[in-house]
Amino acid sequence: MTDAEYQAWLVRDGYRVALIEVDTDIPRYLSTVAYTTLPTDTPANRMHLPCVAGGFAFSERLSLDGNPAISAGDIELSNEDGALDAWLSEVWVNRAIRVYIGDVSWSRADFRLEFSGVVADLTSSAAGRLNIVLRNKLERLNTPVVEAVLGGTTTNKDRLLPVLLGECHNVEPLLVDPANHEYQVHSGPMERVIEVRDNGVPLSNTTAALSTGKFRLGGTPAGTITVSAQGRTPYQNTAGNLVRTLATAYGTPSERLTPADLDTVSLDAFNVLNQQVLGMSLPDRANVLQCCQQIAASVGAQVVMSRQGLLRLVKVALPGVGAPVAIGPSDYEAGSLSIKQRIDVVAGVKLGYCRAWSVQANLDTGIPPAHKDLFAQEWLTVTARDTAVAAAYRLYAEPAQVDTLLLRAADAQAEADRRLALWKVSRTVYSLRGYAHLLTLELGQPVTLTAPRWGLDAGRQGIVIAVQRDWIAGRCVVEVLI
Amino acid sequence: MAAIQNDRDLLLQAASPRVVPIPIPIDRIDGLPEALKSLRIKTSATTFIGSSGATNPATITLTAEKLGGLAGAVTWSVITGAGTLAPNGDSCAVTGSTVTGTSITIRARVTVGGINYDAQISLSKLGALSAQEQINLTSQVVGQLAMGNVTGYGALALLNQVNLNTQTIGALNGQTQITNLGALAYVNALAANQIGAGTLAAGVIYAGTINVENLVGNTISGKSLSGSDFIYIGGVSASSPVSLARINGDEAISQFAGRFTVRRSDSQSDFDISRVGNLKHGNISLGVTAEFLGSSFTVRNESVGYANFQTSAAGGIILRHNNITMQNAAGAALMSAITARVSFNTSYVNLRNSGGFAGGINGDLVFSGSDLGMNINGTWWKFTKTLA
Repeated sequence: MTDAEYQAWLVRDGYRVALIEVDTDIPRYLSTVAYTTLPTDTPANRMHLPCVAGGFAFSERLSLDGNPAISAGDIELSNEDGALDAWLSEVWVNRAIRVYIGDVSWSRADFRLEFSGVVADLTSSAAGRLNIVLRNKLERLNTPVVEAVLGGTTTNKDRLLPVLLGECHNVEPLLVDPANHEYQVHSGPMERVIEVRDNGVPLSNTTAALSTGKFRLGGTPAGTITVSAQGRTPYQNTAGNLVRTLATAYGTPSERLTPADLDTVSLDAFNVLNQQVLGMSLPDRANVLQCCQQIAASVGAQVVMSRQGLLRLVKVALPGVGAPVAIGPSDYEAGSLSIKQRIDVVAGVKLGYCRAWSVQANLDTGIPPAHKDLFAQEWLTVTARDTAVAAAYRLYAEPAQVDTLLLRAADAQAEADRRLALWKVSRTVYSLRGYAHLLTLELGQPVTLTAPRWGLDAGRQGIVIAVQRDWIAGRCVVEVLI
Repeated sequence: MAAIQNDRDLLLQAASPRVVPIPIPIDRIDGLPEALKSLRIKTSATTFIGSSGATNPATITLTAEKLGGLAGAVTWSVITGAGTLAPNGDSCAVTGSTVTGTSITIRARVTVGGINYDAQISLSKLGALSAQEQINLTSQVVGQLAMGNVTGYGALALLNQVNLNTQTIGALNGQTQITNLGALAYVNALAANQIGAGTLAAGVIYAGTINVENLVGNTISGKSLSGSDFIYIGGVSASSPVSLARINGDEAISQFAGRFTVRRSDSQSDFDISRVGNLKHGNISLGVTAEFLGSSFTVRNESVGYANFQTSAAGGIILRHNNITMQNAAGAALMSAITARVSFNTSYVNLRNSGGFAGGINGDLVFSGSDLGMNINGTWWKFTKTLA
């Protein structure tokens, strides 16, 4: 079945059915209506339990404030007779769940995967109901980056092995061998030790072991040892590549994404457009998803999952990247278009960049005062201001600082300018209830919204920032930022 | 290895210097404040000139300076040497006439909390001579300066040669007779530039003997030998029939300004000029009286056209030999152009004319021997002394 045929089927409002597969220890196959695969299907003659009470709805959203937003959904199961009570004693948490949409008359192969996520939990909202709480597949990244500890007998034996991605300034390494003054920067091969310092004083008598991410001092240190370094190899330092690395190489091994879970085309395209260099040091416990979101946010992007459960990076930018989808009055229910939100105008953007991962205030060593100031300051900053906007909107001139993992002033300034340009004008989020053919809209997808109200007569470009799909009803609530 | 990207490390890597000295407050270092306290002595002069009596200066004033917060009374004392001090608080006067010896060392001391802070200074006392720019060793130094006492040679030390004519004054100059030649006395070669212009001036060698063996090739090369007296050519004393001496030269010994005497004390060999060709073809021209002494004298002329003897001197020729033989070549005169007397003061004279002109003697021909024999055309004629 082609995309066009599938899109046509959505429009003509056939007899839709949702097939749900849950990878519990005893795999569960559920559906909204009774459906058994044909003998010629793969798998053949599989029966799906038609216990799904309502439809299947899942909402996903791009955050406009920079904070990560995990999309969520819920599948309600009929359990009036308590036949499914035993499921509550099974492990559903963090088990993969897939939802396929198609026509009850189709063969199994023609169904389309419209959701691939994980089960957050199996609960019961009422006596006759069980509820499968959904999270998209990003939930699989909600695990510690590393859980390996140093071990041994030193006081650091319970410390997590550090991870260093990209390039970082003045990281405090982990002392792994006090007798030999050996420190570890990264738990594996690393690219380069730029400089080792003792209380800010550069040391020359050090020996780096890049293959193990370690270095040794030539003598007893006088104070705190810090290091500037370039981390994990193969060396990556752009947002797209760092997120790809984190999602596939770190976290609980069983939950890590595989290359098949990545929207490679989208990530490659994002990487081409976002060449800013970044760095992240993880000396202690950290969450893979949060790290990915932090990296993406540094360039104004967010980590999202596509409907098919492929990881991608979406940047909140206007206009969006790609050809816009036209949405007019005929594409949504009459009267459903409304203003959902008015975004506050900002007159300035201040970004922190080039973090000093180990802040050293009041260094009493023989280094120039300017260098002491450098080590005492956690962030370097850039600011983009528009005094005219500040005056017009009566806004404060000094904006709140937003920290990034950017390393260069030029990159930080460009990002600050971009954000100011985006938010110094009045932005509006419009909401509409679209017809079935809009079910395939993706977050960040550019659209041209046309409506007889709010100055949208001629159509204005925006991007999709939220979608709540009801595959069974054939409707989706779409929010567009213009 | 990827290039550094972050602004901080780029800034640090480009900075110079990266490390600067750390100023440490003095009061944060235990013991340093006390350690910084010190005492030093300033002096109005460091040397007394004049070994006895009044000196210049007459007194030297010492002033103690307290540093690093040092406070307290100064005590002055003599550490080494002897002299009279006149302390006055932080100052002290030293009178030069009271200083004995060549120096005096004086200490200033301040005692605080049981800690002595000392400073010392040494003053020298020198003789009057030390104040002079130059010293006359003859008149200003008593006795002899030993080599070890001469430590400075002044500008002379920088020279690699000394011109005795221009760089010395008085007794030591180019005319000085140097009796101790040192290494020069043992050289086996004396280069011309070691004796000035390359020529020994007349009279430089005025005594001793020049041994021919020390001359190159046993030969004296030159045109003339002259002297106020005789030139003696000594021969060997052995009886071997070697030539008495040999005088070689392209030019004949043609003139004798003085008296030419050939003497031979023994009788082993006559004076024989056998190669008269070397003596200008046998022509012996005598400007003065010639005297030939010896047992025999033979002149054998082998060249045609030249006489054996020729002289115009007033003394003529005196031949005093026991046995004289003269033989001329055909066509040559035995004697010619002799205006004075020819005396044969000998026992035997043989004049053998080989066909030439016997001689042209305008003066007297005197034979002082015993007899005179003449062979005229094959007939001997004998003249006795009584006959004459």
